[in-house]
Amino acid sequence: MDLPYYPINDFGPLMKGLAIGGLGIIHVFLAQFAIGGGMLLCYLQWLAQTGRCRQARAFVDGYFKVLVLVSFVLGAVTGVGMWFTTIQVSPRTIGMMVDEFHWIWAIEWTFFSLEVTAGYCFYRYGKRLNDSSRMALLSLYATAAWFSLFWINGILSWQLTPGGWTETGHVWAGFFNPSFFPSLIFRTVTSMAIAAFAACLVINLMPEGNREDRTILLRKAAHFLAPLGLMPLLGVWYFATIPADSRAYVMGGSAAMTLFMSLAVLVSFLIGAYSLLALLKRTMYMNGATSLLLLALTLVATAGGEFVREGVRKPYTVRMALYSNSIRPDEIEHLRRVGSVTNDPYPLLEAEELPNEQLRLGAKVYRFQCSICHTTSGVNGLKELTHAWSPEQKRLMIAQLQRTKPFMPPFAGSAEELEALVQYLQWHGEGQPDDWPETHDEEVLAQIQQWLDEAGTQAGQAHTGDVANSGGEQ
Amino acid sequence: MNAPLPLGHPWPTTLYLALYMVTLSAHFLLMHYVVAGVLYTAWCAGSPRKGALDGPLVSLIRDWLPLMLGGAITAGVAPLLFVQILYQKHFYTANLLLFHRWMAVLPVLIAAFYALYLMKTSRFARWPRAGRAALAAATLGLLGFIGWSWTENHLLSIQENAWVEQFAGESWFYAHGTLLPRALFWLCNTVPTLAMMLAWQRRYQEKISEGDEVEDCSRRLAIVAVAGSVLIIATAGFWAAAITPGVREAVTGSPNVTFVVMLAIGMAVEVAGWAWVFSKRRLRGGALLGVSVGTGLRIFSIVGLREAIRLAHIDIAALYPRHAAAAEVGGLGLFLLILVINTLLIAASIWLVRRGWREE
Ligand code: HEC
Ligand code: HEM
Repeated sequence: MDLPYYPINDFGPLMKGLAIGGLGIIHVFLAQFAIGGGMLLCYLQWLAQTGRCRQARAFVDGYFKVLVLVSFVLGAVTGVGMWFTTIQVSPRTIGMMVDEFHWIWAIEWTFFSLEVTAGYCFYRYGKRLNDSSRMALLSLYATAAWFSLFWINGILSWQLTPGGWTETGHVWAGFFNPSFFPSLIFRTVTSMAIAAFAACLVINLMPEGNREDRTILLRKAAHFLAPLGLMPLLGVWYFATIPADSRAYVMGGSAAMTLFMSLAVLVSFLIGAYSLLALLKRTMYMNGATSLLLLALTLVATAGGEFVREGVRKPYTVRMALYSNSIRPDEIEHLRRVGSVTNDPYPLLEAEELPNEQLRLGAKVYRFQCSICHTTSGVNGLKELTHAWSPEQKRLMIAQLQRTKPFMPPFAGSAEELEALVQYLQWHGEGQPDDWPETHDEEVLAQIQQWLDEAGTQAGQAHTGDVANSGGEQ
Repeated sequence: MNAPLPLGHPWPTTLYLALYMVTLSAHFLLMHYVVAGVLYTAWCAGSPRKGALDGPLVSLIRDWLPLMLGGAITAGVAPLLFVQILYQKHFYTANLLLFHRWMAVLPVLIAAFYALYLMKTSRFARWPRAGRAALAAATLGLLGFIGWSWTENHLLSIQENAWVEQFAGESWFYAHGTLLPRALFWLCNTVPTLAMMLAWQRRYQEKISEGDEVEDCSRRLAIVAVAGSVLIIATAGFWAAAITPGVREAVTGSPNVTFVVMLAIGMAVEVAGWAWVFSKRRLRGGALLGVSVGTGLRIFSIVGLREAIRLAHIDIAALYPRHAAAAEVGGLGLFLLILVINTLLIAASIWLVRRGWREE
C-alpha cells in the first residue's frame, strides 16, 4: 500500500480554516454575484428592448461594468486562489477530486472560457451593438456562468453525499448525488438575491436618473428576490438529503455547528422577510445603505452556510472515501500494522526541543493524524481537552477515537505510536519539562492493542440526539 | 518510446500530456502579451517625451492588458488541472513547500489586475513621469514575481531529492542554478510573441479606420521582434550552459531534439516574416500568418523542451498506472462534445461583435 506523504505545514486549524474558509466564502459570494448578475442583466435587457422599462438600458451597461470590475477580476482570481489554498489544506482531498472529476472540471473550464469571452465582448462593445446582439451576448454570459455553478456544484455536493459513487465509483452517480439538486437550486436562488441587492446598491449610486427612475428600476430588480420565498422549503429538502450524522451535528450535536447554522438561518430569515416586504409594499424605497446592509448580511449567511458545509463533513473530506487527516478508510488497517509515520520522510521541525525519541515519534503522529483539526495547545488544543485525563484514560480515549467523538477518524497507527502520542500529550500537559523518561511497558502496549482491536477500523456512529456521548458500549 | 512528446507513452499518459502541452501553450501565448506588454508600457512610462503613453502601440497595449491578463489566467486553469493528474505528488509537494509564496501570489495577482485597469485610463497617461513609471515598474515587478514563483515551483517539483531538505530548512525560497537563465529565457520569449499579436491588432485597426491616416508601426514591430529573437538565442545559450550534461543530453538526443529543431525552424520563419514586413513597411496578412506559424512553433517547442527536461528528472513510467486509473473515469466524451459546442459559442460571441461593428 503506497500512500503519499506530503510535507505538513502545521499552522493549526484556525489558520487553515481562515485561509480556506475565508477565501472560499469570498469566492462563493463573488461567483454567485456573477451568476445572478448575468441573469438579472438578461431580464433587464429584455425589459428595455421590449419597451417595458426604458430606464433599464443605461443601467445594464453601468451594472455590467461593476460586474466585470468586481466579480470578473476578484471572482476569477479567488477561484484560482481556491486551487492553491485547497492544495495547502489537503492535497489528497483535492487530488481525489481531480482524479475522479477532471473531465467535469475540464467541461467547467470551457464554460468559464465562454463566460469570460462573452462577458468581455459585452463589456467592450455592448454599447455599440443592437438589441438582439446585446441580448445574445448577455444570454451566453449568463448561461455559461450558471453552468459553471452546475458543474462545480456536482463536485462539491459529492464530497458530503457521494451517493451511488461509493459503491460503483461511477462519475455520474457521484455527480448527480442526493444533494445535487437541492443545493443547485439553493445556490441559484442565493445568486439571484445577491445580484438583486447589488443592483439596488448600484442603482442608488448611479449618477444619472432621478428618484422616480430609480424607484422603477429598484422594483424591477426586486423581482429577483421573489425566489427567496422558496428558501425554507429548499432548506428542508437539502437537510433531508444529507447523512443523518451530519444533520445531527447542526441540530445540537456540535455546539459550533449548531451556532453557525442558527446564525445562517436567522440571517437568511431576516433577509427573506425584508425582501418580501419590499416586494409587497410598492412604496418602499430601498436606499443605498439598506442595500449594502442586506448585501453584507447575505455575505454573513453565505459564511455561515459554507462553514457548516465544511464542518458537517467531519470526519471525512470525502464521505466514506477520505478522512479529514488525508487517510483513506481502507488504509487504516495497514497503518496500524506498519505505523502511520514509519515512512514519513519529512523530519520534525521542532525535534531539538523534544527530550527523547518517543516524544519525537508522538509529535510526528500528532502532526500526521491530528494537526489538521487540533493544536497542541490553543484552538481546539489537545492539552486543554485532555488535561483532566490520566495516561490510562488518554490511551483508551485515543484508541477508540471514533467512539470518543464520531466526528473524529479512527486512530490509524500502531500501539507504539499511540503510546508515544499519549506521552507527547502528557509531556505537554506537564509544562514540557527538559527531562522525560521513555515508557516501554509491554503490558501497556498489549492493553492499547486490545482497545484498538475492540474499536475496530470503521468510522464511528453518531447517535442522532446525543452525539457527544457515543463512547464505549456499542 | 522514440517519438517526441506527447507521443511515445501509453495512451492515457499521451492524452493528458497532449492536453497539458496544448493548453499550456495557450497560457504562454496570452501570458507573453501581458508580460511584454507591461514591459513596453513601463519603458514608455519612463520616457521623458510628452505623450509617450499615447503612442499607437502603447495605447493599444494599455487598452488590451486587463483582458489579456484575464485570458492568461483563464488559459492557465486548464494546464493547472492536467498537471495535477500528470504529476500530482510532485506538483502538490512543491506547492506545500512554497506555502508562503502561493499565499502571496493571490493578492499580487489581484493588485496586478487593478494596476492594469488603472494603466488603461487616460488619466494615467497624464500622471507625472515618476508616478506613472513607478506604477508600471511595480506592475512589472508583480508579474515578474508570479512568473518567477511558477519557475521556482516547477524546478522544486522536479527535484524530488531536494524536498526533505527544503522542508527541514523552512526556507521561503528554492534557489536552483538554472532558475535565472530559465526565467530570462521565458522573459525574452515574451517579446516576439507580443510583436506578433500587436501586428494583428494594428492591422485590424488600420482596416477599420480606412481613409484615416494611421501611423505605420510595421518597422518598429519588426525591429522589436527580431531583437527579442536574438535575446532568446543568447539566453538559450546561457540556459544550456547551466543545465547538467545528463539533462543536456536528454534534450539534444533523439527524440527530444525534435523540439530544438522545431524551435529553430519556428524562429527562422518568424524572423523571415518580420524581414519581409520590414522591407515592405506593411503589415500584410500573408506575412503575419507566416510570423504566427513561426510563433506557434516556437511556443509549442519551448513547452515541449521544458517537458523533456522535466522527464529527464522524473520517472514517468512509474506514473503510468496513475494516468491509466485516471483515464478510467467517465466524462471524456461529454467533455469533447461540450468543448466543440463552447468553442463555437465563443466564436459566435466574437462574430456578433464584428458584425455589430460592420453595421455601424
Ligand atoms: C476531523 C477533525 C479531527 C481529527 C482529525 C482529530 N480530531 Fe480530536 N476532536 C475534533 C473535534 C471537532 C473535537 C471536539 C472539540 C470540542 O468538543 O470542543 C475533538 C475532540 C478531541 C478530544 C476531546 C474529546 C472529549 O471527549 O472531550 C480528544 C482527546 C481528541 N479530540 C484527540 C484527538 C487526537 C489524539 C487526534 C489524532 C489522533 C484527533 N483528536 C484527531 C476533531 C478532530
Ligand atoms: C500573469 C501572471 C502569470 C505569469 C507571468 C505566469 C508565468 C508562467 C511561467 C513563466 C511559467 C513557466 C514556468 C517554468 O516552466 O519555469 C508558467 C507555468 C504555468 N502557469 Fe503561469 N503565469 C501566470 C499566471 C498563471 C495563473 C493565474 C495560472 C493558473 C490559473 C497559471 C498556470 C500555470 C501552469 C499550470 C503552469 C505549468 C506549471 C508546471 O508545469 O509546473 N499561470 N506560468
